[in-house]
Amino acid sequence: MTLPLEGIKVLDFSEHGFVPSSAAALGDMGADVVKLERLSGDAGRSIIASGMVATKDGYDYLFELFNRNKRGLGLDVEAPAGREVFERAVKWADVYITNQLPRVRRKLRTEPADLLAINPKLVYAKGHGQGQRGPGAEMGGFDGVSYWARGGVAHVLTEPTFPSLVQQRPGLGDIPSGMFLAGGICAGLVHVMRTGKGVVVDTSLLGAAAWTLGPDLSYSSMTGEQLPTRPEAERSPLTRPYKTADGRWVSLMMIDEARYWAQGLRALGLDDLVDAYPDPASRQTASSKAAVHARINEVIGGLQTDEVVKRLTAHDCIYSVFATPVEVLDDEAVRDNGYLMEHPRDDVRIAAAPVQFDDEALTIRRPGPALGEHSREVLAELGYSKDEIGTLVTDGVVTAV
Amino acid sequence: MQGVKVLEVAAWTFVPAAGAVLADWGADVIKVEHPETGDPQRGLSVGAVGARGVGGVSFIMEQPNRGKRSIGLDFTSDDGRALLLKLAAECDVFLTNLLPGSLERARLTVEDLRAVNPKIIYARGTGYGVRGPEANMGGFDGASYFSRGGVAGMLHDPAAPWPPMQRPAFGDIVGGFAIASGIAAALYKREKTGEPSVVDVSLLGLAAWQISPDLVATGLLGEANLPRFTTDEMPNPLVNYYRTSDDRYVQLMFLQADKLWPDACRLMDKPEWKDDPRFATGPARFENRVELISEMRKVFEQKTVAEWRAILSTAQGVWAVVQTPQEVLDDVQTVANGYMRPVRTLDGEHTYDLVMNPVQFDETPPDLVRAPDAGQHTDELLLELGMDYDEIVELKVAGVIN
Repeated sequence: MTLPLEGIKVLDFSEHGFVPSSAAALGDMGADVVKLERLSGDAGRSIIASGMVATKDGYDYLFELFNRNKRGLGLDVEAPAGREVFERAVKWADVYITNQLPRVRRKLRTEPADLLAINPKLVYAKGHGQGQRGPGAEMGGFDGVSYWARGGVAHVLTEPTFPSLVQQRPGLGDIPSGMFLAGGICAGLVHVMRTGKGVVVDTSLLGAAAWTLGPDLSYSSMTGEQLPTRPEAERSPLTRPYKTADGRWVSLMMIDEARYWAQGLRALGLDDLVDAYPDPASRQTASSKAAVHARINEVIGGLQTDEVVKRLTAHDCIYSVFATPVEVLDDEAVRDNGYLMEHPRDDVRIAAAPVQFDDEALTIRRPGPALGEHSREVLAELGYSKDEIGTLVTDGVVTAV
Repeated sequence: MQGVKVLEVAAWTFVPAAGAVLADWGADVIKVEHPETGDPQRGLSVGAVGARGVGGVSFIMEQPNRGKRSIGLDFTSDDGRALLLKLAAECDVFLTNLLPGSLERARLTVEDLRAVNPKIIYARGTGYGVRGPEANMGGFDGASYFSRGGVAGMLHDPAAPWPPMQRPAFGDIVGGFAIASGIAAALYKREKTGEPSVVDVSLLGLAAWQISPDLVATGLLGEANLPRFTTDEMPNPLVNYYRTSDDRYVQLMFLQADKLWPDACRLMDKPEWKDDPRFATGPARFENRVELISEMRKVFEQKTVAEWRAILSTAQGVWAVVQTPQEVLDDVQTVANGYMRPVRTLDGEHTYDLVMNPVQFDETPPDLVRAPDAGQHTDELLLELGMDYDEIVELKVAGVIN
């Protein structure tokens, strides 16, 4: 199978998580991605995510996650010789990706107009915190603030009974936003192919949050109120979380109550309730909901999680245990569908971009590059001779390993 | 995507949201709905609220279906299936959330579609993937993505009475975008090589992508899940929530803490902390983080959120207020960037806002068109297929279309 983006050349001049992860997704889909780094390297190489230094044998999992399937080029783009290399790389590329702030782009002459003048068929993609317009356009952003806090996600996930705000996990906003940008780039490539004209693509973390909270925001814009959260007690007992005997949470999610009423209750041995509430209207009163909830709670509360899973599965119920990462790693469906790619380091698995083509799982063709790992190789492809490359490295314009 | 035609046989939000993104990008998206029942989402009640709002518009129907045309068509009948295939012959993309078993029963497999249109891109959204013992199990984002995918488990504060509930369609909307992205990649490949693709996205795979830092670190470090810190003991006190005097929260995100510490002391009006040996260096702040967080809480609790917005407006580091949906709507950046776009009700009497998809091209937010009523464009679409009114009436009488 040919991957859909095979033959596409991507120049990824971005740092941290959000925007590099979009280039990683394009790499997963077959593109040839060159990660361009300034001489001091991607700031993400040294960042400590939420205080976690989860490295093993000097292997940084976050850097790897955001930079697999790329080649590395280390370059001083401000040196005149470096600028020339950069412009050649822009000509070479189909796609240019950046998270630089406007003031950096102005200083480095990497604005869309600058690069589209060099390569008029370029897809020029920017990822940023608060959008490309308005006073926030000049400000930096991280997902913890621009997506999680400012975008409203933390607020709507936190229930009044919680002791504190729900905390974001590392990269939880960056990673979907990276996929959004990657999708926009793919659409941009179709546009270039059909019209022959370059295109500028923009995604921001705040816009990503707005999309993710679409129902909440659309509702608020229509009514001027916050979408009420239905109180626990008013929810159908078939769509509530229950705690098992061993302290785990199981979420029933049989939204189509009419269809699942009998099989859901029978799965838990509550056949008498099927007969007690024969017609849908009889299940809608507060007292019937409370009664059924109490009975389910009693059953699930008395069973080990394994047993609950066994019974619900046997009756084709829609449900899930609130899984831990260890469980997700071991999940049969995750394994069977190849959602985690085997890494060249045999004890590491890396989440694949969440799209598959022609029934085949995506793969890691190369691990995240060391700073400048492929500088010589990439420069040779840009037409530089061995001597010229040697001079660029000696002059400190290019880093190479 | 102008000129791209998409045939959508899908219900609820996950897969329809992909159609909405493609419509935002300019594609002509034809939504196929059952002639009598329509998309079941049309009757869905969310958060104790059904079709409520301006002009009786269902916001949960509207958000993932704007910009489409709707045809009411029963493809389980022979005539209906023939019509569906006729439509498919004219389309570039077939988009569905039917499970593999249902697609086989309806004879709408990849092979069936390719028999009438060898170049059609075939895109599926599923709960648990198209392989493995659960390939034919239905899923919803609340279960397949939020719970089983580990998202809720990771967001669950052990001190909270239960895990957070996901917001309506929280996983569906992100998953729909992933499908649209895959379709765009496949369209590019088809333009270039002539080969069509099958595109698959599952809610479980989406979760794996979304919590990938947790998954990868867990895989790397073995049995233990990644450490979680409570807000009392966050390893970098400059990356934490702080409560204000009016019971709101400010999120600081000063990742480069050593560089930003002097500025943080200035913002908090605590110049004496700058060189205080307890807090002056990263290791010292980590060592004394419980004490520092407790001190910083006292500082933040002295002023209102409005006062903190003013003070932090000069900060060198990145920060934000934890905003409500209404504040997100009113946010100067939301407005300046057109993240909410107005549409008109069918009668033209009212306007309301929908959320734009999170990608803009050529620095211009797209215009949106409201979601269709069930079967609103049936006649128009059949006329485009070359049928005449007599044939259309006949199909209506037979209940194949509406």
